Amino acid sequence: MIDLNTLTIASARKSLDSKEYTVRELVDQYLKNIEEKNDEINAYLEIFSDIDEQVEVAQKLIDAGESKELTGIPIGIKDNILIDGRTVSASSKIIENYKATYDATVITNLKEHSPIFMGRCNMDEFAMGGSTEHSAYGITKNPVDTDRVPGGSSGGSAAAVAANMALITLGSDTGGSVRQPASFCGVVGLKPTYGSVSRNGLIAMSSSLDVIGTLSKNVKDSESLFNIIKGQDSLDGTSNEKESVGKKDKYKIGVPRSFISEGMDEDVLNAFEKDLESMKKMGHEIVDIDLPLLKYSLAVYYIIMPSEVSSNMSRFDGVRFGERVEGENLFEDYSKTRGEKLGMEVKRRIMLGTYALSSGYYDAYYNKAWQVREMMKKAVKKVFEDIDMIALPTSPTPAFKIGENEDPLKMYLSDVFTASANLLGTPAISVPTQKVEREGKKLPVGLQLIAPHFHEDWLFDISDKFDII
Amino acid sequence: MISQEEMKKLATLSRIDFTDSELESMARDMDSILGYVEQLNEIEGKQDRLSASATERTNVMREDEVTSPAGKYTEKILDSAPKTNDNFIEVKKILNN
Repeated sequence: MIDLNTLTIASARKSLDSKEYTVRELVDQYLKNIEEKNDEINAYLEIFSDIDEQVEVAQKLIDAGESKELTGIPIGIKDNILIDGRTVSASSKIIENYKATYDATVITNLKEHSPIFMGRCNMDEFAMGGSTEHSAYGITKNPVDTDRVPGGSSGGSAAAVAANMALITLGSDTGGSVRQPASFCGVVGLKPTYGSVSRNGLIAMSSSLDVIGTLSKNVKDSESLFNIIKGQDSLDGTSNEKESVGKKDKYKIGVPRSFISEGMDEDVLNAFEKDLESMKKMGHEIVDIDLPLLKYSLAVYYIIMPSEVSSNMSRFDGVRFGERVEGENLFEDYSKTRGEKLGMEVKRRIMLGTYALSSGYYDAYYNKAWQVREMMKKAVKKVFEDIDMIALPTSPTPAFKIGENEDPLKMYLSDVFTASANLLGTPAISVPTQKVEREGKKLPVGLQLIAPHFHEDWLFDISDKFDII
Repeated sequence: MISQEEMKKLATLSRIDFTDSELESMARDMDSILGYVEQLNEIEGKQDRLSASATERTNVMREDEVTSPAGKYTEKILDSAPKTNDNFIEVKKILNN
């Protein structure tokens, strides 16, 4: 029996290469968990039917002494990342049976290693949500407490890692969708620098905010996965790469005090203070910083994001791919297809975006939001001249109960600490450092660290020193 | 308050079918969200929206050439389409009277 709870990419690599166990044995343990738990948890919408073939290919490479870092490692992929020939649905009915016609660049990078693609992970439809309750294929339950949500939109990806149904998974983060579910499920979630990972093959939600991210049980595994998927890509005009800057012995961490204290859950605040103490004990300096614009990040996000969504979603018109519902004329083909096949949250954001971009409102909303976004970027750039990283709780609360946040605005407020990193483009990590008690259950909460652009290694450096609970 | 008329206009622009009650309920949700985002009016902003990040972004150019051989993706594209006719994707009449 392999202890999946303490397994890491490095230890699995060692054991596989030294023939301590085979790829078949490793994968079978994950498949056993999937068989036992996935019906209830619903982390995966589909387990790929060719796992046996993938296992054979990986084992041959290992036997020939040609293994790479991820050869034979079970990985789950969020249902919005294209794998050639496989169904990808963004957890939506509108592309229920769509088969990807090419590999996302991250998948091309991963295929070089011959990992075991286990299946596609459930998500909020088109990545729009903070709980995975908006999936068109049923909710995902939090493996830590199945009465609660796993977070979203990468809830399936986070739950799969937490429930040992994959060693690592890929998700996507537009306003917190990797970090918040990581916090809720007690796993590590990384949102890389905008542009550091190619978006080619990621179903677009909000193009100036989307980033593919990693989920894993420990920091080193996220680092390994990030190093494999990152890189400049000619197929993504916003992609970029920069040399890592090298680590420091001591970091200066800024805490935007006024932003945190407003209406925070007391337990989460206490957990955060404990984390700050831990970082002090590690030898780092903790200082208060003032970023008064941060409190506007959600407002900026909920104008810019729906606006970009309304544009990106227009391709789903029943013409070239996906489902088509026939009407009396072409217009009705569009409106019935989208009306019937898109979920309410998606439609809500399309309508919001259409409103914000429409004539008469463009200046008041979209233009204004961009201006504030630029002001925020400038302010944070200045703050980073003086400090190395910003610390925040990942989420104002631990995982909430299924059905608890039905009001859309209330659900949106759970992004309050995460959306800023997307607006700024800065990398951010959530590390499961503490637990808080709710109704007799111990629920994980994450510490969030935000670094300047392309400084992921600073994030890995500090967060790796925490004892992951 | 967004009027039903305005909601209907937005639904048309968005190319989405809504029932009247769905539209009413969505109007309430949108009002509450728009009410929240209006706090941006508290900020004085003369910042030119393009000034800062314009210098950080560069255009990615390539030669204006066709690089894939004719017909290479035809089958894949047609396989994805809901309705095809020969080598065409079929849609309803586009031009109205």
